[in-house]
Amino acid sequence: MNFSRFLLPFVFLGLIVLLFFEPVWAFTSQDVIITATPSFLGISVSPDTWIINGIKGSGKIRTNTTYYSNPLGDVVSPSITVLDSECRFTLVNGSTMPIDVVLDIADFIGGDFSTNSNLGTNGLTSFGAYTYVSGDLFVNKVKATSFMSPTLISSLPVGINKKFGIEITTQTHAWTSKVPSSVIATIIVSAH
Amino acid sequence: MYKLLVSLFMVFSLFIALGCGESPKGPSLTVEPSPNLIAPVVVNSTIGTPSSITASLNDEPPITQSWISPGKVNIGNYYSGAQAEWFIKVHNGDSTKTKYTVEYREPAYVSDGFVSLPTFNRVWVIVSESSPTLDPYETRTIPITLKIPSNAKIDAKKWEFWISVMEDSPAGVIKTELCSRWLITMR
Repeated sequence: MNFSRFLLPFVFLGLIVLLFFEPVWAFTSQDVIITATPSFLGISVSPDTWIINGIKGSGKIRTNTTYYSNPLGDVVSPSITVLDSECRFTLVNGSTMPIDVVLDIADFIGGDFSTNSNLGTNGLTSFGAYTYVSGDLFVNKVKATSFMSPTLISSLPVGINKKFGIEITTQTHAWTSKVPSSVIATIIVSAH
Repeated sequence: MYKLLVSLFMVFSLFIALGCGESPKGPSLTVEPSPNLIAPVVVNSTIGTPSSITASLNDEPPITQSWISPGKVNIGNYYSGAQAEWFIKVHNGDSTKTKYTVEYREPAYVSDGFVSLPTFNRVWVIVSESSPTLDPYETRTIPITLKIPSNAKIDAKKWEFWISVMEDSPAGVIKTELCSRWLITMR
């Protein structure tokens, strides 16, 4: 009896210790094999901003108009084969492996809250968006949707720069809020 | 007999506790490869230590560049009810503290022969630190665990999911989302 009384606190202590350590007691199950490649994934994009119609223009935008992030002009379409000089952005693959690049463009925040049609075309209250890459035919521009856009750049080698641009066609309906708005563009990078 | 059983249980409890204290992160983390190693580092979890390591030196990116590692993780011989734990390294190349979001992501595309599981439940991926704040030039190791319930029906033999790492950027700038691809082959 005395022996049991003496042991009980230790038993409870043991149970508490077991409970405490359980969450970090994670490991890989038997026979499951993990193979990882400790390579690095990193890029840089420069510049990382764009004021639509703000390269040569005033920064104010019209309805039903197509704007390009083209240093040669905000409403100047790139050439049949896109030139470096027609692309605002430079992406550098600082990874240690070839990468794939996707660019999503979300809905506008603020102002008239124009939404991405995800079709490439504009609508009453929606805009259309594309991305294009230097060296490619402009007709092969890639639709930029708010989620899961098609791949913009495939298998970009290590240390290689690639210039790219964005095209946005504004909504057809007149603006009502007259308040500035912004949109978030996200570059998604993964190992090829 | 009763005393003997109680004594054995107590010894067992202390043994487990001591074991956990020595390896708080679990066996797969105790064999964490250096970022200077190049592929492949293979961990056969049957014995909980690397069964083979093939490595050569490789240059780490400059300290001022943000990066994640590894770019790809292959999990083989997986099955419902099994657990697979690996980690992702996140490096802050900025000279200021930076907050990141680390989470499951549906693949934007998949490798040949692999699919994205429509029935995948994101709670099956456990990210130990989903919103870490890293000091300037800090590298953080974040364990990721894949744990699918034993009663979950996985129809595909090969499937893929991604772990997304995105830093909190101010509004108005192009955000960068770095994704580690996890490729699963069922047994």
